[in-house]
Amino acid sequence: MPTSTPDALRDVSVIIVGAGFSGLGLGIQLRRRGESSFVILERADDVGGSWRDNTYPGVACDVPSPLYSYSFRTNPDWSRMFSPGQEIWDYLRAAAREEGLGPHLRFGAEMLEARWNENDHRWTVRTPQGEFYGDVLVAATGHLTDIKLPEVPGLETFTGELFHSARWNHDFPLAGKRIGVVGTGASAIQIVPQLAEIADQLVVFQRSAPYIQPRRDRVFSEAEKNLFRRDQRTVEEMREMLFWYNDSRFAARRLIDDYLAEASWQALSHLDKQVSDPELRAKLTPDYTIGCKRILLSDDYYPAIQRPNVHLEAAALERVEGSTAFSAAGEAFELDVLVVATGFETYDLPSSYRIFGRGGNALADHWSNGMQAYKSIATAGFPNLFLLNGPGTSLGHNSVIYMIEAQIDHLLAALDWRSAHDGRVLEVSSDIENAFAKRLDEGAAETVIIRGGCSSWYLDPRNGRATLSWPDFAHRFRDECAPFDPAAYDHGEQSAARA
Amino acid sequence: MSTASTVPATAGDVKENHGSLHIGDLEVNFFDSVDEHSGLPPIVLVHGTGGSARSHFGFLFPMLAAKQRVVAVDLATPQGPPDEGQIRMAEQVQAVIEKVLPDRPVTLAGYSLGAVVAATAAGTRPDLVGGLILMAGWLKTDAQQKLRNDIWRALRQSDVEALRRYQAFCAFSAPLLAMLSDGEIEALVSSFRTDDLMAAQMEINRHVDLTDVAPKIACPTLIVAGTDDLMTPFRQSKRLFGAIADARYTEVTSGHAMVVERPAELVHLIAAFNANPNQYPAGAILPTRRP
Repeated sequence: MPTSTPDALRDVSVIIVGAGFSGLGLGIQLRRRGESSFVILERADDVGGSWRDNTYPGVACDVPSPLYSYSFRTNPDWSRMFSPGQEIWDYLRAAAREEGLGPHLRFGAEMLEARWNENDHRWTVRTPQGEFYGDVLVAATGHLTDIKLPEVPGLETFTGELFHSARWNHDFPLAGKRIGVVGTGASAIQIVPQLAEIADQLVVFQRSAPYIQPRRDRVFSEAEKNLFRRDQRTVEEMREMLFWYNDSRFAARRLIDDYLAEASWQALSHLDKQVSDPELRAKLTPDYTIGCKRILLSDDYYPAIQRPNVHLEAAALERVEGSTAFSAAGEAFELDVLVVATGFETYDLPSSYRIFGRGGNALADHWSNGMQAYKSIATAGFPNLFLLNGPGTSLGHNSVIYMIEAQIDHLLAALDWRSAHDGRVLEVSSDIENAFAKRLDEGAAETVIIRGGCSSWYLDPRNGRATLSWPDFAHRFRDECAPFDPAAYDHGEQSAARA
Repeated sequence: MSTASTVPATAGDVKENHGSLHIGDLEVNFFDSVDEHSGLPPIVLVHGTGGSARSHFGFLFPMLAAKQRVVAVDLATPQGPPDEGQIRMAEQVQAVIEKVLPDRPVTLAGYSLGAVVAATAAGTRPDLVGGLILMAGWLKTDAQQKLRNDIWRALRQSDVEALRRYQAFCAFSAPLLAMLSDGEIEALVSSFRTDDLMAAQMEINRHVDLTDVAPKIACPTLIVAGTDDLMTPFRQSKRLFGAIADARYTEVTSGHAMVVERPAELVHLIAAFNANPNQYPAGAILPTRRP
């Protein structure tokens, strides 16, 4: 296109969309293999994905840091078991810098539209920085990235300050204010203890009480960090221990009695220990089976809820009129600030409306019955498109970084295969994709995600399918989905030579 | 063997049938997940010293049963000479296989004493076993193991409470014990058995010798050793690796109690081996897993 400015990476082998854990992880592996023909398109002005976007007070990961990091880039410097979000963001920025990804990154380059070209069998991605052309398109666009606001009548008329937890307004002074927090998920339970310290009044709107287990966080001492630096094997051993322990927690998700009872006990005994008022305890007791929604980890949420300036409203936010927020229980609260911690678009991804495959078909249309992909990575009608951290990759019990790495291995093997076969196009058939999706649906039907009696962000409410969820051990994902099997793909066409 | 009965029971969410058969005056119980799920061979689990299908395989049984049929044997402790113990127990396993899973290859997986029993069963009836997994097993009881056995016996006479503490100390890896709270340690300690049946199994342990039977094992075999195992040190597993022709070897970072310390990793190893026993060739040491 004539609007494009000169760019050596305008026309490449691989276009990666997104510079979060997935996109950077793939970029690092490509660099380490000596590949140079790839570009990473990022809509924001820095790398880091969720860890760039989420800057709310108290932001941290609920997966232990030694595990929530790349296996091929362990970090001896984590300050604690559950490191603050800023440290994770710094880790990703350092990784991008030190692994030499700088020249491959294009910022302010939002994927406005990606289109498969039937003539030269290649992808074109249109961005505000012009068009990019690639043999292979990798959607590393994540699923905890596009914010979701609750559908509450009058919300837009709120006269106070309103923002989403992932778009925190740090310019607005919150001290001494009357603040409402909407939601009690993973973000909210980290935010509430922080705001409780500074708010005049804090109201927490709880649609459904979460299960909360002890966090068991701890600082890594200087001596420990020094050991990690001197003997990398000690970091790896901790990572392996955490991984296999976390993976064993899948037994509870699969509703095996003893393990389910143990998980419940860990949460409910924590509640009993921290909350003595029976009325409040009842409000904080979940009404579904543990693990159906994400299990949260916190030692300071329940204490915060019991502060005199904090009120737990055990009802959803129903409507807003001016500065008044009404709960579904009919209570009215005068507020200066509303913090909306209601999560992200997870089942109907905005990015899927921007990717067009064969016949100009939008990925969102292909996914109108719920998103799905063969081995969570490839979809019918979208040749040479690979998805990272997309459908069928979310876990309630282990680290998604492990899942992303398994997908990267599959993708690298696919790229190797293309190199060895004259750049032939890789595309799965609908039959193969559907068979894989059917197996996942059947697996999910045996897990607490489907059977736990709740509605969670792992479910697609249009059809009740757990399209986001990998319904098995994490290790099983690597066993099944990391290997690349060329026989599963049709591969007739060849990408045209690059200009 | 004579009578058999089958009554429904449940283990967690997995449907299973409970059955039993008799060999002489010994009653042998077993659990069968029944549902085949797939074309994969069924897995037969054999527990270790002082354990049962339930106590050693509370995790492995239901989680493996999600993908293939699983049968777990509750070994009966024979009262005869201890050096015949391994063969008497192997006969029980063979009888369960012939009754429940006749005329089809099974993957036989034993843990601890169960590994000794499974190896004996596979070596004496190669026709029954298509694949063999030996977790924390050993080839022939050595002086280090006899010393531990001596201490066990002496403590049982003098101080049963100290014996329980000693068992916890020996069964779990140092790193695992180091992480536990006082309450968790006490809970572990109180879970150990010191009864007469346990003592009889300890006598059988003293007399284990697979030297003659190991070379008769013909099927693909996976040896799984615990790096921090004090009861059946990993070098014993390496001896099995040397003695069994079609064996491959791997280690898990664990003490002897690998079914408790690394159950998910065992599910991975067993399921992967059952799906493709020859993924790694005879003589291979599996690549190190770096999750």
